[in-house]
Amino acid sequence: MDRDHHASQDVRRGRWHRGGRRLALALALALAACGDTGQARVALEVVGRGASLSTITSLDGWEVTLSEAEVAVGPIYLCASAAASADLCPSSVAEFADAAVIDALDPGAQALGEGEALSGETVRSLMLDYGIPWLTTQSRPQPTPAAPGGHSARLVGRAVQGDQAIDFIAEVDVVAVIRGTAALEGIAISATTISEGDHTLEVVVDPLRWIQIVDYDALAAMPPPPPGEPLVIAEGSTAYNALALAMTGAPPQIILHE
Amino acid sequence: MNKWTCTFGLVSLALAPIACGDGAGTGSVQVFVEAEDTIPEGLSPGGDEGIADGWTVTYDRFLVVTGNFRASRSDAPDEALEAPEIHVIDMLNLPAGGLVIAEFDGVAATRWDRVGYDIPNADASALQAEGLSDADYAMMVAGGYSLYVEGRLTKADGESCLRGDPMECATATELHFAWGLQAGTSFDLCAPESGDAGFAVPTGATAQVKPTIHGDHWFFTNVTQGAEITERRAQWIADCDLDRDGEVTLDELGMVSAAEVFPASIYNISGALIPVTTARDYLEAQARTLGDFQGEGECPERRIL
Repeated sequence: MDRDHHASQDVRRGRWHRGGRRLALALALALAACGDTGQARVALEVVGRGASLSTITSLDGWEVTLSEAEVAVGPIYLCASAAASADLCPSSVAEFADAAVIDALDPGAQALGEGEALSGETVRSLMLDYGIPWLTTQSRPQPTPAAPGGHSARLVGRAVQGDQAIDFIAEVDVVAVIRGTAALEGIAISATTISEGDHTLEVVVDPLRWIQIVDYDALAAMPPPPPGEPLVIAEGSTAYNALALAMTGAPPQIILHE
Repeated sequence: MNKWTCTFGLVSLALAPIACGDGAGTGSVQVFVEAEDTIPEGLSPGGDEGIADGWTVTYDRFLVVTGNFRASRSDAPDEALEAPEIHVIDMLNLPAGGLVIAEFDGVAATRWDRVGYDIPNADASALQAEGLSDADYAMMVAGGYSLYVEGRLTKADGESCLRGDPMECATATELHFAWGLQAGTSFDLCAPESGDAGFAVPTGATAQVKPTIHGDHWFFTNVTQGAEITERRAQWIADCDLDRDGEVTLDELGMVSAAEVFPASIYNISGALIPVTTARDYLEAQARTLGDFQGEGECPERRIL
């Protein structure tokens, strides 16, 4: 654990380079391959799952049904430290360095790609991006190719209350607010020790938790869109803030198992 | 001798036998509670660690419940330092040298790498620390508070704005707040800002260990886990003065949706210990992060008590 408390001065000045984390893992894996450390590189199959339902009642009493929900996840860094952050986790013990999109209305297993992990390490926390990382080498967050339409999430649905109906679309970007950090940090997971067999990393996304807190009464009070077109939940609006904050406050469930 | 001094003295004696270690020499440990400068000095606008949106913050009362200090060693799990007492403390009226809440003698001279303490909700078993008034002690216990803060926000051209279309703003150059919170939280795996986790006891000398209470976390724009890589902003509090009477109450904070006052382009709530749907939730979530260590060090394992 001690090494997780060794934040470099670079980190404290906000100049931490997430490329460095990947390099650290690669170096550790290379050493492991020499047989010196007793650790081995194990493959990490990354699988996504969506919600089993598509309808929920919002906090203000609307019945909301999603017809489309695409959510980009990754990169994902799993850490030995009790809380994952740029300085507490300078080197991950498992990672999915890529990003992929999950059909968040499909509860079936969706292959997202492969990651890698170090056997013998215990994972306690993680940090992740929703497909738009912001590395210290970048002047602004950059969408990965997996990000749907260049966004973290694309949600399309209908909210109904009585004889009122709102068709809506939201394209939400959730990015780190500070360069060199992840969009989501400090996400605790059940402590899991990585054994020598291959592992699966499940990423379960439930967009109903996010759309539940939108103020649909306020949306209904907005000027209606042209006939046949959905209401666009625009960046900067309260509804957009609600979705983006919910995506940081109610992160995907991450499960690591053999 | 006041109540708390007497109590920890007894604890000290009781713990000495279990603290004696591996025969490699011993030393002492003195545990102080320390206030971050932001508590007595407040926060000013601007600068790297000032308020980014121009507000000045002054605290008039800052009461906190702290205690249940513990330390152990990864290399000798059976050895432990424990001081289970809980203290209600006036952080604006600390003794000049800091408030000692525990002392241990005959402690193995080595690194104690697993350190923690609590900021629990007060109850009648809590001790009244030196410098705390009887009235404040009674208020904390009656309210079951872990924290009580009272203070002012000032800004010469300040405004309080109600979200809407259009946004309605009114002049607000000074706002008062007085908040008692039941936000009991434990803090573990404490580490200084640099160096190894916990603290080292030198042979024949005394290690000074300082659980440090910070006073600026509700102004953060994210829930920091390690180094405080963040901005500090106070406008959200001003915007929650719904009745425009200059007093921002907990009830008002509870009536304001987080989405109304925390723009997603600026704020991030990942890592919060509680769900954040209102401004009051945000205040409480940040109140559950105030426990730091040796000044700017952190205690990254936090649990709700």
